Amino acid sequence: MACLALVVVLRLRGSGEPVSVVIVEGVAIAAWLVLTAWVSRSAWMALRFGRLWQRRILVVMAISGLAISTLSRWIVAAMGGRGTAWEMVMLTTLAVAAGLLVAASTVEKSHSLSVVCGGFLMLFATAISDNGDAIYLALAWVAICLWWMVANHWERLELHMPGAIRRQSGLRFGATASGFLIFGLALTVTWGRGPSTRLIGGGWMPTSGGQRWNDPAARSGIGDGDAVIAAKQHAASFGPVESDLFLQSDLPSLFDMFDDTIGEPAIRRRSEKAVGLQNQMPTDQQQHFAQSQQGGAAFSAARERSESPANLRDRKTTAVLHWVGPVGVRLAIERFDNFDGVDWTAVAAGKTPRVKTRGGGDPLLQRREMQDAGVWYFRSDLLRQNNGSPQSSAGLFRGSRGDAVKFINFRSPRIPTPTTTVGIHIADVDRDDFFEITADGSWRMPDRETVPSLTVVRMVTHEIDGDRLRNWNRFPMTSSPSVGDAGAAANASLQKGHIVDPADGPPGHRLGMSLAASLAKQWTHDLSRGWPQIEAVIDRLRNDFAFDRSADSDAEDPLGGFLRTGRGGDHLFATAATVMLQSLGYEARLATGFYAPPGNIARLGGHIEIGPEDVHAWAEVRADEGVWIPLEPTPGYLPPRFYRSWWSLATLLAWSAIPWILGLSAGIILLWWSRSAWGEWLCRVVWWCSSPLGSRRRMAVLVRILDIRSVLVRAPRPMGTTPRQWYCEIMGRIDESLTPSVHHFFDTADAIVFGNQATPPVGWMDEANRVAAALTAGRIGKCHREFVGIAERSPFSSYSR
Amino acid sequence: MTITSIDSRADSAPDANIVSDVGAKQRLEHLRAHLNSVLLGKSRQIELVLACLLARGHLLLDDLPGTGKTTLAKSLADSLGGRFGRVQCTPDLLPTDISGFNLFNQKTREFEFHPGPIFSDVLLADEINRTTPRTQSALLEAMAERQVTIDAVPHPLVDTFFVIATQNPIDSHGAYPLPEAQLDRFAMRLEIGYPDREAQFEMLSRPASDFAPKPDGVAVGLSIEPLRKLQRLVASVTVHDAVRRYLIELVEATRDHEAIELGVSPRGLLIWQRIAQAWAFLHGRDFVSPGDIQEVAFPVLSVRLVIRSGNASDVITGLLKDIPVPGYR
Repeated sequence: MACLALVVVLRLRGSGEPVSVVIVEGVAIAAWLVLTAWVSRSAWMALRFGRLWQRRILVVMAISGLAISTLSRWIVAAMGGRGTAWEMVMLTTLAVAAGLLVAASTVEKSHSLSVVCGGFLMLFATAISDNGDAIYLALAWVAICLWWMVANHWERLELHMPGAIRRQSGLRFGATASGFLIFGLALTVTWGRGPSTRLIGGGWMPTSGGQRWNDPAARSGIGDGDAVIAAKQHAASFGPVESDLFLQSDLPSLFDMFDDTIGEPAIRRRSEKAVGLQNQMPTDQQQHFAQSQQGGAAFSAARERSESPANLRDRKTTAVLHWVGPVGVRLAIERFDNFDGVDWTAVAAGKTPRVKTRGGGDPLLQRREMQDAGVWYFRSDLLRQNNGSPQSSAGLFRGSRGDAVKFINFRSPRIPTPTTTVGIHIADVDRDDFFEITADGSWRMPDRETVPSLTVVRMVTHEIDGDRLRNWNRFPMTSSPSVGDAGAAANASLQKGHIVDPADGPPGHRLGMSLAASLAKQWTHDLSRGWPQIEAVIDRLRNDFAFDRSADSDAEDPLGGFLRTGRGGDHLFATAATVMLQSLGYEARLATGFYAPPGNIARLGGHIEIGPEDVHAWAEVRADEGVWIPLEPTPGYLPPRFYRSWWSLATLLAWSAIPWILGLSAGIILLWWSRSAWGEWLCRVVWWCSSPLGSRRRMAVLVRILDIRSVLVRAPRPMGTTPRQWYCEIMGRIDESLTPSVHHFFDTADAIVFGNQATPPVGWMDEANRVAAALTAGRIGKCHREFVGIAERSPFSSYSR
Repeated sequence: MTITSIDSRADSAPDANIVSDVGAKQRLEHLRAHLNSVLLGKSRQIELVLACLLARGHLLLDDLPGTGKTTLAKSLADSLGGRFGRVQCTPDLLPTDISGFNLFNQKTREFEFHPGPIFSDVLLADEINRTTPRTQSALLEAMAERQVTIDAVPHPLVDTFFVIATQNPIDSHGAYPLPEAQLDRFAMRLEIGYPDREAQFEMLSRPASDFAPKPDGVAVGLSIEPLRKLQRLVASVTVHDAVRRYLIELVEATRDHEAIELGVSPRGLLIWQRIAQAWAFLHGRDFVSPGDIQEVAFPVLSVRLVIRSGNASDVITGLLKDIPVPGYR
């Protein structure tokens, strides 16, 4: 139970880490725990019968060792750059202590104390968990605890159990009603207060970090512990405070007004939009600014000595964005829909911009004030798909999820979002003219050079229903703007029954496009229009082409070079997929942006760090009015995850697993069918390997081997039959000449095991070898088959006479 | 000490320094041979009888009329060469007819004790279920404690006191079934059964003189003193802890079995171990194996288990099948 609690702790600590990492780490620590427990138990046993002062010394040493090892582990981990939050260290220590108590099982009370420790760990860990699945582990722990308690107190329970129960309907009704009442009350009290870190925020539960204690490994906060502290000190410092970034924080301070020996701060020439906070939300920081502007604030001569906080270090990060959401997501910045063979351009960008609303906002955006969630801006075209609700499921969508992105070193007014993002929100930003949807469908903050660093943008993203997508037949038809004449030529050529010959097709940079069109036609000619065709194109690209960003690219015809060599970067994969889909009449476009890789999960924050190397290009296809579906043609990148029902997943798994199931079944059947052969071989190997053992152990090994052979041929020795009875009977049926050897072997074995004989007589080993060679699995099986009923016949029938 | 084998398997058995007295061992061999010559084709039953004798238990022979119960008992008693007492149990038999009584001697003006047939080395209680429970109860103290209390005066019996009782399971008219307390004092119940064809042929071929009773006082087998030595040797046969635990498992199983109304008592447990020791001794071993426990399970359990439903043989077989034998470790 302590180990289970420990694994839960580990699971929580690495909430964003892959499960395999958690399991490996858990197993490693569990192994360390078991080893420690074993050593401790040995020491405990050694001193069990010692004097009182010796036992006291042992207890003091154990406690000291535990404390020292805990501190050492924490310090070493922090020095190694893999700091662990203090509460996690303490929890792990408590788990180790619980394990030690289990090890000291010679003391009866240690069992219960260990369970209490385990229970505290489990409840604490579940309470502070951000992961809802932790409740299942807690339930499993409770079930194990119940089993343990019942097993340990069964006799007492049985004594107190009533001999008979007289049913009374009134009592039953009362008990049921009381149960429902208690359940309802508990539900009312706990509704919406599930396991959450808000309990920590409430201040009643100890945790690391905070305002006074600088712990770079602090678990709370959006960034990390240093960031939390720094953000509270200054609005423009590195920090996670979402709204402070939009304050005008570069006004001269009062100190600067008095001291003219230092030059004034440089006046910022550029002007950017900013939003002021509401009056009811002033902070100390803002009051300070207001007073400095009025000049009425006091200047204090008593100043504290300046010292940099301990352990506070500048951190340089190359991350462009921090993404809080599922891994493998593509965050689009720009989209292009027109390809001339070399360059992509956005036809939509040339369209006339939409007329702004009276407040300067984008008419495509719909402002909604959400209770407790501030002001959100939703795309009205996607809302229409969902009957006006950001949460409902209609059309291709099925539910929504909440994501967040934090800008670190991203210098652009565009906001990277997933393809199906329907709404965004920035804390305290409630002006309509702050957001717009660009002509290519991206989110943007107009009239700004960049989105300020450290801005946190929250967003609602629709989940695409994969089941509906498979049967979707409303993909709009288009005249394939990119492919144009080349596509037409390719189509014409294909109609003639051959693949486009470079010599026949359009020359130069358009050749690749015609080749792509012909390939697309070839890959999808027997498929119905819709998702099957799209999926076929994507699958062929993912399976038949190799991802290689360093591959040489043809400057004149990059797409043709890619299709001919079969190697290229993700931009070529995306280009090929887009051109192919356009050639098939789908409205497709190429999207560029970032990819959230699964391996870049920050250990402390749980977010995904997206760096410059994660820039990516992919394709999108339009499925309906305003609804675009992301496609991933590049191998090595996770394909977009669409919602699949359990039935659909099971069907898919069944189909994909059929070869494995068949192969595995055949393998198992083959192994089962030949079990006596390989089992016999293994038994011989074991018998041969057992030669260094002593005679007593070898004898036990041989009897075990004989039992295994009997099981292999489905003639297992009944548990109430002695080996002597069973194998002498079988040997007598196989070869009577060897029966004396078997008798003698078992006589010797009985004498060694149950008697006073210390060593076997000379020649015993030869007899054992003869028995091992004579009573093979095949012979036992043959004897069993020929004398049907040997297993069923009672060996005791002769005794009853 | 040297070992000499008792049965045919002893040649292949390991050396076990058990029997210190070669003479006693040879006499035991003679006794077995003699009994085998008297009761043809029943070597297993004779071995069990000898095991019962060596384990200092008491024997109940339960079988049909004419199967040789009395012959076996008489031959055994004759072979031991000690004092032999015989009681033909009838409904009018009184306890004092077995245990003895105090008689007032008018000459000496004192009570004189007149011992009954129970004061013997071997007591044959023939047709024990024909006498009343009151008389049957006269044997309780003697069988359990090897003493008889008459008029508040305990009279010890010899330490080799051995009761052989016979009863007929068929003719139940006018019979008094033995109470459980009485049955529990027997070590085993044996059914002799009919001899096989070969034995019957040999029986018919023998001259009549072979079945004539031997003269009194002529011990053709074991005498009391060698028997005492052998009993001490049997008690020293090793019983491994694993075998003891196996035995306890079996006994516990009889107490928890749904088909058994009355399981094995602690006295039964002790007797079972002693019989298994004797069985191992008779087969030339100085230790008890799990097989020995099983070999003697039927006669030991059948005398003391009260079966609620079903056949006793099936119940015992089920018990032996269900309880795992100790492994070789």
